[in-house]
Amino acid sequence: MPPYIRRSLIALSIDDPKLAEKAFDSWADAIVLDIVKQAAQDWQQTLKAQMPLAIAAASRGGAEVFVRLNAQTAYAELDATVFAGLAGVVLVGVADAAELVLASAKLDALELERGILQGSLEIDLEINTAQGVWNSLEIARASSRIGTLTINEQALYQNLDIPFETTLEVEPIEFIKGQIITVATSVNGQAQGMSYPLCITQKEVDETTLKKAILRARDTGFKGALCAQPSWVKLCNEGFRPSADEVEYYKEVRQVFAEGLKRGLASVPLNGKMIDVPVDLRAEVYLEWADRVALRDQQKIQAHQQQAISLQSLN
Amino acid sequence: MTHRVARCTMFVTPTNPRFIDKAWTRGGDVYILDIEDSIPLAEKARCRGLIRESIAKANKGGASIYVRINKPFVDADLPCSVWPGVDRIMLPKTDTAAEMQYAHDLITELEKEHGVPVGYIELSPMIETALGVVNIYEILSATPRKIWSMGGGTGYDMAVNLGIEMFVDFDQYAYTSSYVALAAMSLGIESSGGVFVHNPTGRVDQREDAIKEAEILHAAGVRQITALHPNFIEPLCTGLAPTQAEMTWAQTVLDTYQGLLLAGESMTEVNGQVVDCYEYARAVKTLEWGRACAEKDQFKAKALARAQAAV
Amino acid sequence: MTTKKNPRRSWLIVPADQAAVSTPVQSQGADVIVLDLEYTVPPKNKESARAGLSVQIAQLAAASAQVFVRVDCATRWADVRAAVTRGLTGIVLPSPEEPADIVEIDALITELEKARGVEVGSTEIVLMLESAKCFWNADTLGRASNRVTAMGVGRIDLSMMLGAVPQNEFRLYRFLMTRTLVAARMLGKQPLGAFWRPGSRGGLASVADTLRAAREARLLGFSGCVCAVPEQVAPVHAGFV
Repeated sequence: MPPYIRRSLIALSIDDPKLAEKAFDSWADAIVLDIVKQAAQDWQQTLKAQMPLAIAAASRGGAEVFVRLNAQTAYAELDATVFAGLAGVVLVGVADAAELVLASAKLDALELERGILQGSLEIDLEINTAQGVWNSLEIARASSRIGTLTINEQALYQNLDIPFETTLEVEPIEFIKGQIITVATSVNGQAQGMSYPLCITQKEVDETTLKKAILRARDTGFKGALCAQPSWVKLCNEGFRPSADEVEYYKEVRQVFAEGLKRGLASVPLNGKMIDVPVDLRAEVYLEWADRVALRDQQKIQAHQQQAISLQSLN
Repeated sequence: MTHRVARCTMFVTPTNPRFIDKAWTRGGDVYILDIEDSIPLAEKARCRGLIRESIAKANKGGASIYVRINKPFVDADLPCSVWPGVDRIMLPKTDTAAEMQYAHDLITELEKEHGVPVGYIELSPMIETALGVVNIYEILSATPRKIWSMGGGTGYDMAVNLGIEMFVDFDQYAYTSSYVALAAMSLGIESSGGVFVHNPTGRVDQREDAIKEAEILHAAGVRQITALHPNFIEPLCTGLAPTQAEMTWAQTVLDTYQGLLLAGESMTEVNGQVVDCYEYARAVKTLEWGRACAEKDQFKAKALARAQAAV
Repeated sequence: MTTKKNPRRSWLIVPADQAAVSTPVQSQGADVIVLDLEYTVPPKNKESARAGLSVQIAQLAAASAQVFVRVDCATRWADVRAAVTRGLTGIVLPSPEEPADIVEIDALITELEKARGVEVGSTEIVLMLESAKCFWNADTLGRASNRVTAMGVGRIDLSMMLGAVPQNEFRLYRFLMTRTLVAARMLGKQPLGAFWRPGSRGGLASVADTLRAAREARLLGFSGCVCAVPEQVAPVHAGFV
């Protein structure tokens, strides 16, 4: 049911000499490329030369590849950064719908120019200002390209002048996260994010703590998270999905309900709970989600194997 | 009138004689005749045919009657549901203002056809999707019909829409329920809406839980909730009405405030409690609510006595 | 606006009909004095309170205080007329529900500034949100006038009758604070508010409760709040650090 299987994302710089290796080893569902603009006059030319290589390098492990740009400078940068192989663009700090419409139109032109399937490039929002939060619905509705929404918590805290506290019982931006998740879902997109306080401490933690944090993020409505640490990726891939137990349970639900229907029953008991139409619907939705996750994992495994094979054949 | 008091509503399945015949004895303020999620697809046609006769069966104890129709079958469901004796139509998974307008127009036609005073039947959008949440203001202001907001961005279907598991230890609907509540309040529309109570077992039938829930809702100022089991009905109806102590205090506030007005003052204390314009407004609402609950209780008692004598 | 010199953490309500109180008030150390024509002034004293305003404002301004006047929304035109004078920093407007209301008051203030030799545009407006409509319209209200420098969460536990929930909060409170914060920051206004919890009512809140309410508001991103009584100034300063 989430439109995208994007449980784990990591950000890498296109200047990183180990870009290909890190992307490959990460097993992330998606890579977000951060650009570096050289001080020189012809930064566009440099980027244009760099990007296709960076995109190829980042996609070696089967990840989707995105480029991340600041909304204020994006219009000029899109030309230098959008090439075939990209799944989309992450725009940071979009202030209003007008900005988004401009960016979307620019992508229309670039798709045509560069042989990219029309309308296929996604626009994802990284929100870091009060304005971005307040206008999030309007912005999300401004283009059918909108895919995911996320919050840059550290930047937003600064923008809102919220003190950086990591031991509070309730997260200061709890309602803002809820808003972003709701907005994203309402436009058939999804939201990604990590729960508090890991979203602002961004550190490595033990497995138990990380699992709990991912579960909390998932229960809040997030479908994945930007992994501040590569070590988060594995558990994000495992956590942002129906678990094996859930899959087994939902299979049983569907079976038991179908049998009940044959006998003319509107609801059937299973382990002390009543299974009726809404429960069966949920089961259907979750099983389909699980199938798509399995497919995605398969794709990544194949990509890794192919990579290994082509490296072998070089030797 | 009395149908405004809906401390405790409960869904009943018209296709199940066991439930529909006995429902009136349970003491609910409202019974909701369901054509939606408790009725499998294959049974819906038969259910439609049973709605009209179910009204009289279910309201014998003085309860008001609502009907929950199906979002995809509005055209088939409404003609079977708009009848004298029905106070409200519930529209599940309302996503847009257009859906409200459509239902409103059709209900108007049917009220004329079926002898119901035009505009009498209330319309309740049930907000069960993220889209419904973000469109809430437009939804609630879409029609001139009396609206009562229900299903404020929480619940089972909402969980499926958001792709989340339920019964966790925090309020997953903090934003959605608050946003819907604010929209309703800003339009002067009454809304039902719960308060987050951690329910790890997911059980809905324990009487002790009912009493506890009633206390919590009462403290939070919530006046309407849906019971998922008959055991919850009586504790909720009792618990959501003002207590005698609250009514007495409200009257005291009223009397004291009149004195203040006459003296040109604005604030005083009685038994260590503040009496001011805020407390006065609160007292007025409490007395109004208390009287409405008492009237409903009397009505239900009379209806019950009549129905039992007839048996 | 808040400045390094005056961060406007504490906005102390002083009943405008108690003229004798104003002088010692300066020694309370409040960042902002709010002469009140609303809640704390009984109807029988409103006329005399209005009449005595300009003298009080002049005295406080002479002592370099930041002076606001909280008007009664129902009688705002008369209250504003009594308040706009040299030395007044601004008006606190409780529960404005429509942007048009603010636009109208803005125009009235301009007219009075011109007539009274006050620098045109210098009189500020602070909005206190106290009803569902206010919170729903927070962005359009904040944008309605350039005079608006702050937006605050009023005592909504009282004015909106929000009941207590098991988490020892008022229903909707945190949501409404968040909404105000985002609107205020988006528009460059100072967000005012305190995280009052059940049991701390109005000016009767204890020092400990006040400190906690201020501290928790700071943790949510707010930078000041209203003090109903002078005893609340010190804990508010301690909380909004």
